[in-house]
Amino acid sequence: MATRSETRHQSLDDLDHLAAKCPRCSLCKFPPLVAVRSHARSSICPSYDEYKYHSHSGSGRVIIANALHDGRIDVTEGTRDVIFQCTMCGGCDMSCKFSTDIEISEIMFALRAESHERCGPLPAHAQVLDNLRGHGHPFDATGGSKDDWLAEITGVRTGLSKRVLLVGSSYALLPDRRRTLLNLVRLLQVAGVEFTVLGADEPDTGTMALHIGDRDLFDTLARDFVGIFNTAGVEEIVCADPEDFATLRAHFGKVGDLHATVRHAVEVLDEAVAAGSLTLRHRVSHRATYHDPCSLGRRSEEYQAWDGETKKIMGQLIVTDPPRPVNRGTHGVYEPPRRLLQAVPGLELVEMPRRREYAYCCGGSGGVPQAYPEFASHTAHERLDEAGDVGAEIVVSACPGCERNLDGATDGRGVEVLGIYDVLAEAAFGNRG
Amino acid sequence: MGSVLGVSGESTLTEEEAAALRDEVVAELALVVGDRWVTAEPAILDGYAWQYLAEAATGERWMARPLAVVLPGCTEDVAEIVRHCNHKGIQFKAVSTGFGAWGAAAQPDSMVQIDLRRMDRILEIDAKNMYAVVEPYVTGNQLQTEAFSVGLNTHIAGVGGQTSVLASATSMMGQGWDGVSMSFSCRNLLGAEWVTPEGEIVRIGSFESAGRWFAGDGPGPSIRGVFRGFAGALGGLGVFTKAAVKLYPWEGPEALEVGGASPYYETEIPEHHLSALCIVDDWKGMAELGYRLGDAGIALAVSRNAPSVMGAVLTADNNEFADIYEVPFVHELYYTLVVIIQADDAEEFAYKVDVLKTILRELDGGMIANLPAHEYTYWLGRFIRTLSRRVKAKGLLKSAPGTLGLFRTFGKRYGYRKLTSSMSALLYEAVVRSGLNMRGVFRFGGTFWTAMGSLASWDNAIKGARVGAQIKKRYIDEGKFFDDGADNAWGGLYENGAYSHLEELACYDPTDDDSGANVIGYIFETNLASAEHFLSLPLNACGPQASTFFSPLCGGYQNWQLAIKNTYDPNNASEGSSYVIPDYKPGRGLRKLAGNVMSDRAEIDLTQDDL
Repeated sequence: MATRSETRHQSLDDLDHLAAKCPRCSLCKFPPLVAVRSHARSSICPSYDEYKYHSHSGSGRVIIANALHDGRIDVTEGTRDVIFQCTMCGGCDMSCKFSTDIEISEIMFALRAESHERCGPLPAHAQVLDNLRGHGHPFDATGGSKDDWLAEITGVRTGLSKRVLLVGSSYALLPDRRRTLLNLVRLLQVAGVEFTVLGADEPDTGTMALHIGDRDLFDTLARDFVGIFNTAGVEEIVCADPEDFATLRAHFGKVGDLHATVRHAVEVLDEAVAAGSLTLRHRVSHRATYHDPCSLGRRSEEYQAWDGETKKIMGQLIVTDPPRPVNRGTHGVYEPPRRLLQAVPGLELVEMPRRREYAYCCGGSGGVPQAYPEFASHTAHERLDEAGDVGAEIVVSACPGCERNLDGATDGRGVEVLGIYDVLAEAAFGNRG
Repeated sequence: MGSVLGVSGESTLTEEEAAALRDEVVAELALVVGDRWVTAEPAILDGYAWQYLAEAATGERWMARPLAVVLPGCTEDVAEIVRHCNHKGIQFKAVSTGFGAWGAAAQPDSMVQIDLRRMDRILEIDAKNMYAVVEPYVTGNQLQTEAFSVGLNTHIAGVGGQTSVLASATSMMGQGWDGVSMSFSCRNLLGAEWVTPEGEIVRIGSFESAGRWFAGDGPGPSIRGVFRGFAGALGGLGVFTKAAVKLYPWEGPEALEVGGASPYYETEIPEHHLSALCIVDDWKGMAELGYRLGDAGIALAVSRNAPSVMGAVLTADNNEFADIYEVPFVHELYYTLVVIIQADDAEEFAYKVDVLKTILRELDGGMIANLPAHEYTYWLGRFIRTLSRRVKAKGLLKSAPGTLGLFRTFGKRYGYRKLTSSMSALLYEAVVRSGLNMRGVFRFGGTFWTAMGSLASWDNAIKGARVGAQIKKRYIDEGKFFDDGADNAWGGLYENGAYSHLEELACYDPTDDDSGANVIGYIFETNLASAEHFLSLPLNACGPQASTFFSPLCGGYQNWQLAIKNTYDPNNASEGSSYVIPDYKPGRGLRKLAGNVMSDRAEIDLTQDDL
C-alpha cells in the first residue's frame, strides 16, 4: 500500500495517514477508562481543561494537522495559540494508543515544526531560541555560567569520562534548583558512583528548541552533542534532568547515533540503595506523594526507528510490515523513584489517582510557562489539588521543571514540593543541604 | 469525491457576508458568555467540522464549518444563546462530548455550535432513590466511577464510557452491553431540563412539581415522547442541559482494582462476580441461550460480540489481531455470548452460577470463565467440545500451531498461570467499564458504521444480523469492508430479554475515496431489508434522507417528527439535518444512490441459517 520511513523527524505529510484516522472519539481527554478513579480527577489533558474547546485536546490538534494538510486553514496567530497552548505532556498520546496507533505526540511535534517553519517562534519563545543559539542554554546570560554551582561543592571531577553526569541547564542555572542538584551530587558521591561533570562546557540537549518547533536548531545542538560524547567515548550518560533524559532517549535517534547508554539519576540511586552503597537511615516523617514527571515517565520511552510498509489485508484491515513498534508510555521510569521513596524511613508514600503513564502533567513543560504562564499555574494547582485529595504533606518529583512549577502554586496549601534528591539527602544525611 | 447525501452544501453567503455575520455573532454572544468562551477562529471551528462518519454524509472527512462555537456555562446562558439565534435567524446545534457527524453543521456559515463542555457536573447521586442528575459533559465512565462508590451502577452506551450520559439519554438510542440488567439510555431518562428550540427552559417529569427527579412522566409535563421519541432528535430539537438517569445496583467494590500497564491493563474481577464466554452450537442455540438467560434474571450483562471484535479487544494492534485471527478456530467463535454475573454474597453467587451452568448443560454448551480450577477445566472442555462439533477434529488440528503461538504470546504477557483468568478479566473490563470499545471497531480500517435493527425479540434480532451479514458479504467480496467473515453482529438483551438488538457492524477505511458511498449503500440496503422482512425498525432510519424512504414503510414516523418540529421550532432555528428538515426534498445524488441500490442488491435468503 505505502512504504514509509520513520527514521527521522516526521513531517505532517509523513504523518497524514495516522492523523486521518482520528475518529474524534475523545478518549484522548481521559486516562484509559479502566484507570479512572474519580470524576474530579478524570482528565488527562491540561490544555483541554484550561481552554475547553475540542481544538485544545489531542484530537483537536490532530484535526488541526488534518486541516493544514487539506489546506483549510493557515498558520495564523490563532492557530499558533492552539498549537502551543499545550504542555506536550503526552497524556493524550498514551490514552489514544491504549486503543489505536495514532501518534498524537509525533503529530504535535510536527505541527510545532510546521508552525515554526511558516511563521517562526512565538514572541515569548524567540528569546529562548536566541539564548540557545547565543550561549548554549535557554536561559538569560545574566543568570551566570553552567559551572557556577561547582563552587559550592568539593570533590567533583570535571571533563569527559566514561560516565558523565549531565546536570542540565535548569539545575545548573536556576538558583532555586541548585540545592537539589547539590544534593544529587552529594548522594552520588557518598554512594561511590564514579562520574564527571562538564561544567561550563556541558552542551544543551536542545529540548526547548525541539518543543518550540525549531528543528534546525535542535538538529544542530543534537549533532554537536552526539559528536562530543561519541568522540570522547563516553559510555554512560546519567541525566539529572528528565527533560534531557527524554530528549536523548526519545528524539536523538532521529538525528544521530549516540553511543552512550542513557540513564536517569534515580535509576543509579535506586541501584545504589539496592546494593547497599547508599544508606537511607534518617527518618523523614511525612505523608508524601510522588508526581511522575512526564519526561521521566511516558515521554522517555526509547525511540524506535521503523522502515516498512503499511498495507491492507482481509479487505480493509490495515497492518504494517514489519510490525511498527508503538510506544505507549508503559516503559518509562516509574518504579525506581517509588522504590527509593519507599526506602526512606518514616516516609509514607501515597499514590495520586493519576499516576505512572497516566499521571497528570504539572504544567511546566512544552514552552507553556514562557508563553502562557497562567495556564502553567492553573495546571500546577490542579495537580496540587489532587495531591491534597490523598492527604499528601509533601509532593515529591524528580524534575526541576515540575518542582519549580508546582512550587509556584503551593501558596497557602500547607503542602511542600520537594525534589526527590532533597528527600533522599535528608534520609541519607539528616538534612536537605 | 462528491457529496453522497448532499447535506453539506455551499454557503448561501458571500465570503464578506459570512465574515461580517461571524464578527457580529461572536461579539453578541460574547456579551452572554464572555470573550473567552466564544470564537470564530478557523483552527478551533474545524475541531467541530471533523467528525466520525462525515464521509458518509458529505463524501469527505469534514462536515461544514460552523459560524462560531460558543461554550455556555449554565442553562440560562444556553437559553439566551438559543433566543439570540432565533432573533438573528441563524441556526444552532449543541454537542456535549460530540462524537458523530450528526452533531456538526450541514451547511457552512449557517449555524452556531454550542459546545456544552463547561457544564460537566454530577449534580446529584440519590443513592436511596437510585438516580443521578448530570450536566451534559458528564461521561458514562465518570458517572459509573462515582456510582460504584455508593453501590450503584449506570448503563453505558455501546459507543463507550468516554461519551456523554445526557446526550445518549436525551437524544440518541444508547444501547449497550449491560442492557439485560440496566436497559438502555432511552429508557433510563427520568427527567430532563430542556431549552426548547425557541429558548424556553422546561423541566419535565416529577422534578417540576416535586423537586425530585424520580419520574420522567409526571406529575408534571410528560413530554419525553415529544422531544426524544424512540431514536432521539440527534441534536435537532433544542438543547438539553440536565438529565436525570436511573441507576442500578452494583454488587461490587467501591472501585475496581486495575493492574498491569497499557495496553494490557487487567481489571481484577471482584469476588462474587463471574465473567464467562459462553458457547452453544448454532444460531438457534444462541437464541435459546439468550431467552433463558433473560428469563432467569441472573446476569448483569449479556452481550454478543463477533469473533473479530473479541480478537481486537484482546490484542494491542492490528498485526497482533491478524495473527490471532489466522488461527482457524478463532473466527469460528460465532455462537458465543459474554455473560457477566454479579452477586451480593457467596450464596447468591452460587445460585446464579448454577443457573448458568444448568442452562448451558441443557443447551450442550460450555464456557470459559473465572471459575475454580477444576470447574474451569470441566467447562473449558465443554467449550472445546462444542466448538469442535463445528470445526471438527481437522479444524482443531489446523488450529493447533496457532493456538500454541497464542498461548506463548499471552502466557508471556499475563503469566501462564494467570492466562485463563486474564481472558475473563479482559472481557469483564470491556463489558463492565466500556473502555475497550474503540479497539473493537475503529482500529481495523479506521472507522465503522452499523446497520440493521433496533429493538426486536432476540431471535428476530439474530435473524436481522444474519440478513445484514448476507448484505455485507457482497461488500466484503468487493474489498469495500474489512473481511470479518461477514459476521460482526454486536448487541444483546434488554430488561431481562423483553427485547433486544443486534447491529451488523461494517469496518472500513474512511480515507478510501469511495468509502462514503459504500457505507451509504450498505446502510440503505440494510434499512430496506429491515423494513421489508419485518426485522424491526431500521437503526439508520434517522434523518430526512433516510426517512424519505423508510418512514412510509414504518408507520409514517417522519410525519410526527415534522409536526413536532414545526410546533416547537417555528423558526427552524434548531439545526435538524439528522432529525427532520421542513420542506426537505431528496437531492439527485440520493435518488441516484437509491436507484442503484434498488437495481443491484444482495439476494436475501431467509432460510439460510434455519431461523
